[in-house]
Amino acid sequence: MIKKKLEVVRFWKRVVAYFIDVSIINLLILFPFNAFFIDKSLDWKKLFEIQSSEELAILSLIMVVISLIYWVIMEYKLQQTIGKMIMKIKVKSVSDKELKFPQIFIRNLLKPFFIAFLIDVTYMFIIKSNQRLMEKFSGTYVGEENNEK
Amino acid sequence: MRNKWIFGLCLIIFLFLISYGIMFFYLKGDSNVKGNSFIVLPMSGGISIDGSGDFLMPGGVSSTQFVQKLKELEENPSVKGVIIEINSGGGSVVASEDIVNALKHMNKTTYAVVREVGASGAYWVASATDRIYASPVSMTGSIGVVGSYLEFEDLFKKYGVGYERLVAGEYKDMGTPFRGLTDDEKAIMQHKLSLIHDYFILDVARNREMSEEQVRKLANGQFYLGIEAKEYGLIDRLGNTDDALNDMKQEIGDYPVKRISEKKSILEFIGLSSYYLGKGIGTELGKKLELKNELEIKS
Repeated sequence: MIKKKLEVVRFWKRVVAYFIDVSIINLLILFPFNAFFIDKSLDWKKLFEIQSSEELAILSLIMVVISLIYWVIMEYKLQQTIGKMIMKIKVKSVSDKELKFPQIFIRNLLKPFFIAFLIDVTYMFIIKSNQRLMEKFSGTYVGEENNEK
Repeated sequence: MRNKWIFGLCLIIFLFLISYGIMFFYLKGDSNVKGNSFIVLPMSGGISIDGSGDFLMPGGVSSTQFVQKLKELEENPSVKGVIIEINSGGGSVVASEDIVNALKHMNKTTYAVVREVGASGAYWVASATDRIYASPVSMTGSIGVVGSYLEFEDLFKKYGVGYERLVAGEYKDMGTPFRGLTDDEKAIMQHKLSLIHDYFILDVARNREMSEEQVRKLANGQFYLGIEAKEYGLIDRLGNTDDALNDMKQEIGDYPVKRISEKKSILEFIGLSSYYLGKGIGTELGKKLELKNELEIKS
């Protein structure tokens, strides 16, 4: 099997794009959820009472789903998120075919989970690849916007 | 090129609105009261410490949360009076007592309005308020204690299932559903129920400023309709929430009323949705079957 050589995107561009997207998600999209923490008067003891932790878990799950919707819909429709649009990079399929929804879903699955996402990214350094672990699974990679094939 | 930025912006706004909508409904039942007001606080369903209810019908009153709510209202100087709108057949003894104690520690005027039912532990809660209202046909009272449970010994025997009793301490497995109670154990259980009953009677008597004998006569576990309860002194007035509010306004002042809606946790919401979805499907199926039977009979 011949391995396809993927174009290399500067890592810092991906990092900046990621932080732009995370800022958009946390400061704009998920902003209303702050009301929950204000409701608990920022009292962390209260927050981790049994009832609160149950509510916290469910609200966290909703926040995860909303974040995923942002990543997945943007990349499925435009191959880019706002961060990637600013950094002029794009999600592409290794097979050069059109990106399918499951591919986009899988590549973004770990993004809302910080620790899991770190492991996902660490894979790039261990294997010295341009792909994250989930990108490898989904057959996708990130390339320059202008180098369209 | 421009279109993708517009798409991105629209998606951000759409997701923001979803987040906002979720939090709006989540916090709708918030008890933050600004400006002087009377509070109507509903208390519906079985009373338990965690408000877990039962498997088929989740939810109910969590004494922990209810007491917390009462404390918040007590500490809030804007709250001029609290009306507890009761629709509950009671529940756990300790959970009910927690709410009773919280009400006793309140320095604000508190009324209870019994809607359809305010019995047993819920009546105990009502008795701790300054005044009880009920409809002439509300069910109230039921001052008694239940300790009944299902016992499967014979059923298990029928299917060859044995209960291997291994205990250190003679009464350690008293009340297990796998064997019947011995006479000794029955007496012990009955004694404990009587102790709780006495405690319940004494506290209701104290709260209602009635004599112990008066309450004991009524405390045979039966419920009383509002009209009977008024006659026996278990409630103060016949009326509904509006009547209670009018009286409160006359006595304390004309303040606006804030109704604190019962905040359902998301799990409860999902549970209730599933319950009503199942109930709806069942009802519709039942109607269809009835219709089919009717058609068959007619043809």
